[in-house]
Amino acid sequence: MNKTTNWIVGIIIIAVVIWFGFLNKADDQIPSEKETIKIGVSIPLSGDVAFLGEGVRDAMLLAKENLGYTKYNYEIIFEDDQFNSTNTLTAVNKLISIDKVSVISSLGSNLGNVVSPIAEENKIVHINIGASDSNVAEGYYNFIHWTQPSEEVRILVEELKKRGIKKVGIFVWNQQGMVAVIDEFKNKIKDTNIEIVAEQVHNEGEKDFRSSILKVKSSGAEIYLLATKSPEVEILTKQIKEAGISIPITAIESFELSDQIDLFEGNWFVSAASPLNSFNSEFNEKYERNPSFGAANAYDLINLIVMASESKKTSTKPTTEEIAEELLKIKSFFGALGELNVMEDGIIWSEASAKEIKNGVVVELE
Amino acid sequence: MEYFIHLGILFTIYTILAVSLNLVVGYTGLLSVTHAAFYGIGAYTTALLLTQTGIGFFTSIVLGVVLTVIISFLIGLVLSRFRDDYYALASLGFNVIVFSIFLNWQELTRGPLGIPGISKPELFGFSFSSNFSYLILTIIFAVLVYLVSSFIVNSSFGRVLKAIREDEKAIQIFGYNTQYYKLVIFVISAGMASIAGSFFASYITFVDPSSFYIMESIFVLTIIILGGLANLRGAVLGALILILLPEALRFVGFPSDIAAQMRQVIYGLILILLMLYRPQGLKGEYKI
Amino acid sequence: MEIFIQLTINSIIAGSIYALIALGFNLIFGVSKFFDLGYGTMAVVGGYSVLYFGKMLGWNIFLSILIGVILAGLIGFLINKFIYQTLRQRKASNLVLIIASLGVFTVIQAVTAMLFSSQFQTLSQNIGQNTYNIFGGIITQIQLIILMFTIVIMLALAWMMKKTMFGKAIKAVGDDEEVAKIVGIDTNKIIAYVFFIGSAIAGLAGILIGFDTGLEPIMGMKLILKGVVASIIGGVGNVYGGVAGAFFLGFIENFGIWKLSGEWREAIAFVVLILFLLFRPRGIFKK
Repeated sequence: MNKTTNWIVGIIIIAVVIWFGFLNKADDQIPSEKETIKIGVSIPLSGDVAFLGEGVRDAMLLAKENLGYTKYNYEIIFEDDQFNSTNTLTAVNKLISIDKVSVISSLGSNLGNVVSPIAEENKIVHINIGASDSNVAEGYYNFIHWTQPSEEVRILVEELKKRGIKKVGIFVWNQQGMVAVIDEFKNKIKDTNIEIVAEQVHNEGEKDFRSSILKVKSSGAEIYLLATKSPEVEILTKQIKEAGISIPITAIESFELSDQIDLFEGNWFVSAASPLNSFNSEFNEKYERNPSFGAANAYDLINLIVMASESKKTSTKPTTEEIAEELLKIKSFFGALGELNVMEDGIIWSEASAKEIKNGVVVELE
Repeated sequence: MEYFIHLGILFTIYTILAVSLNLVVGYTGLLSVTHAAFYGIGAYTTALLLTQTGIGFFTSIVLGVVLTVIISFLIGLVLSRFRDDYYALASLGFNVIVFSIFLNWQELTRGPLGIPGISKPELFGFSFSSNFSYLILTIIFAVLVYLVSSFIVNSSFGRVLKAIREDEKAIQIFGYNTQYYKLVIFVISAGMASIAGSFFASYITFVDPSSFYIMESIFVLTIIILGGLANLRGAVLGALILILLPEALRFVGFPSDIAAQMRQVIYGLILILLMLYRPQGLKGEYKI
Repeated sequence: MEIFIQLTINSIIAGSIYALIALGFNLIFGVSKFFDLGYGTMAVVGGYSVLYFGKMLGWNIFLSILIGVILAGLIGFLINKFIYQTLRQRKASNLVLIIASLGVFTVIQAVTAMLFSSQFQTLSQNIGQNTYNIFGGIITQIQLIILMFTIVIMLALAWMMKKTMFGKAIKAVGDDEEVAKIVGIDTNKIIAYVFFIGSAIAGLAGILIGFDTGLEPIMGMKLILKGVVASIIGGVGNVYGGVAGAFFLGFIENFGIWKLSGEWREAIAFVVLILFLLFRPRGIFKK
C-alpha cells in the first residue's frame, strides 16, 4: 500500500461516514399546505452532560408526537452545543439566520445569558430551561421555564423549620443552578436559627465523596442537603450509607428523577417542577429510562409554544411578537409539571412543594 | 449572512490563538497544552473590567496582556525546566490549575455563575455593536498579530527558536541562553492569546470557566497540527478548516441522536489519519 | 483517630484504582515510550462489555467479566497493531503518537456514547453492600476486591518480569529497543503482547469501577490523567513506582480535601504533579 492508496482509503472512509449520514437524514419534508413554525433548540448532545440534552430532546420529540391536530406544522431543529458558550453562540446564529426559527430554546443560566441579548435583538422568542439567573428573562422576548431558587428555598426553609432542624450539612454541585440555590438559601436563613455547619463542593463527574462525607459527618449536621443531580446524588447517597451514616438526607428535585429511587426511601425533599406521574411513565415507556432534569420543562415548552401560536385568530402564521404576546397571556396551563403560569417578567411559574419517597414512590407530604 | 459574519469572528479569534501557539509549539518545539489558560485570563480581565468598572475595552486589552505576561512569566519559569513529554504534562497541569482558580475563586470570578452583560467596545463615541463592525475590528487585530509573529520568526530571534527546536543542547554549546529564549516566546505567545480572550469576552457578552478547560488548549493544538507546525499560513488554514468543518457537518443531517457523537468520531478519525498519513499537516515544513 | 483511619482507608481505596491504571499504563510506557492517551478508554471498553453481556443480555456475570477483560485487551492490541506500530515503524516522534492516541480516545469515547448513551450506569444492583469494619473505619466488599486485585496483579507482574523469559524480554525492549532487536527479540511481538496485557488490566479496572460506582463514556479521560500523575510520582516506567505513586496520590487527595474542599481535587493532583516534575522528575524511586 503506497502513500496515495492510503490517502484514498482515508478519504473513502470519511466519505462513507458522511454519506451514511445523508442516507439517514431526518425526513422533515412533510408535504402539506400548512405553514411551518420552526423551533430551534441548542442543547448539549455530546460531551460531559450530553444526557441532559438527550433528555430535553427526547421529551420535545415526545411532545411533538402527542400533538393532535394543529393549524400549523411545527419543526424542531436540534443543534449540539456541548454545553459550551461558543458553540451555543454558533448554533443560535445558525438557527436564526439560516433556519429562520421563530422560537429558540437553551439550557441553563450560562447559555441563557449568551442567547438572551441576541434573541431580544433579533426579536426571536427565547425560552430557556433551567436558568436560576432571572437576568436571562430580561426583555420582551425572553422567558425562563424553571422554578426560581427563591421559591425552592422558601419551601426548604419552611420544612426545615417545621421539623426543628437547625444544623445543615451541604453537598453542592459546583454548577450555576445549584450554587444559585445555595446562595439563596444562605440569604434566607440569616434571620433564622438554622445554620450551615458544613459545606462540601464537588465538580461535575465526581465519583469519590468519601472524604467529603467524613468531613460533613464530623460537623454534627442533623440533615444532609444533597444539592446535586444524578448520577452524583446516587453515588453520594450510596457512599453515605456505606459509611454507616443514618442521618436523614434531603435534596432539591433530584430524588424523584432518579432511576434508583429506592435509595432515598423515607426521605423528604423539595420538589419543584416535578413531572406528573403520567409524563414520567409515558417517557419511561418510550425511552426506557427516567426523564432527566429539565425534560418535563422541555415537554411543556413545546406545548406552550403550540398553544401560543395557535391561539391567534389569524390565517397566516403568527409573528414572533405575536407568539410572545400570546405566551404572556397563558395562565393555569396544565402540563407535565402541573399548573403553570406565565408571569409578566417572562418567568414561567410553577410552584414548589415538599414531597417524600414512600414505598418507592413520590408522595405529597401532609 | 449574520451566521457567516459570526463564523468570521470566531475564525479571526482562533487565528490569533493558533498563530500565537505556533510560535511556541511549531517554531520552538515546546508542546504547550495551556494556551486556554491565557485566553481565559484575557477574557476574565476584560469581563471584570467592563462590568465592574468604567474602564474601556481597549484599555482592558492592555491590562489583560499585562496580567497575562506576569502570570505566564511565572508559569514559563517553571516550564522552562522541562522538555518534551514532561513539558506537555506540566503545561496541562497549569491549565487545570488556572481553570480551577476561575471555577473556585468565586469572590472574584463568580465561579460557575460566570460574568454576564459584557459590553461591546467603544472608540471615540463609535460603538462596535454590530457584528460586522466587530468583525472588522478582530480582523485588524488578527492581522497585527500575524505581522508581529511573522516578524519574530523571520528575525534572528526566530532562528534561535528553530535551533532550539532542532537541537537544544547543540545551541547551548554556542553560548545561547536557551531558557531565556523559551521564556520570552512563551510570554509573547501568552500575551497574544490574552488579546484573543478579550475579544472573545466582549463578543459573546458572557464568560464562564468552561470555555477555558484543557479541551480548548487541545483544540488550538489540533488546529496548528492540521495546518502544519512552524507555518503561519498553515495556522490560519487550520483555523479555517476546523471552524468550518463542524458547521458543514451540521448540515449533513445525521439522525439527531447520534449526530453530535458522529462529529466527535470524525474529528478523532481526522487526528488519527493525519498522524498516519500526513503528520506534518497541510502546509507544514516541520515534520513532527 | 477514627477520622484518621477512615481517611486512610479512603486514600487506600482511591489509590488502588489509580494503581491498577498506573500498572497497565507503566507497562505500556515501558516498552513503547509514549503517553498513550487512549489507554483510559480501555477501561471504558471493559466496563461497558460487562454492562452489555452481563446486564443487557443477562449472561453469567463472571463470564461477562472475562469477556470484558479480554475484549479490552484485544482492542488495545488491535489499536497498537494498526496505528501505533505503523507509526513506530516510520520512526514517528512521540508527539505524533500522543496526538494519534488522542484521536483514539475521542473515537472510542464517542462510539461508546453512541451505543450506550452518555448516561451514567452502574453494573451492580444491590444497594446494601457488605461492609467490613477495619480498626474503626469502613470499607465495602467491592472496594476490598479492588484492593486485592491491585496487589495480586502487581505481584503477578513483578513475578512475570523477574522470573519469565517473556518478562525479561519486556525489560530488554524497555531498556533499549535497538539492542533488543539485535539480540534477536521480536520487539513488535513483545510490544503487542504488552499492549494486550496492559489494556486488559485497564479493562478490569473499568469493570471494578463500574461495580463500585458506575460507568460513563467519558471516564477514560479522568482515569488516564490520574494514571499519568501516579506514574510520574512513582517514576515513569517503574511498575512498583506507579503503584506507590498511585497510593501517594490517593493520600494527598483525600487528606487535601479534608483541609480544603472537594472542588479543588483536580487542582491538587496537578500541583503535586508539577512539584514532582520540578523537584523529582524521576519519581520517588530512583530507577
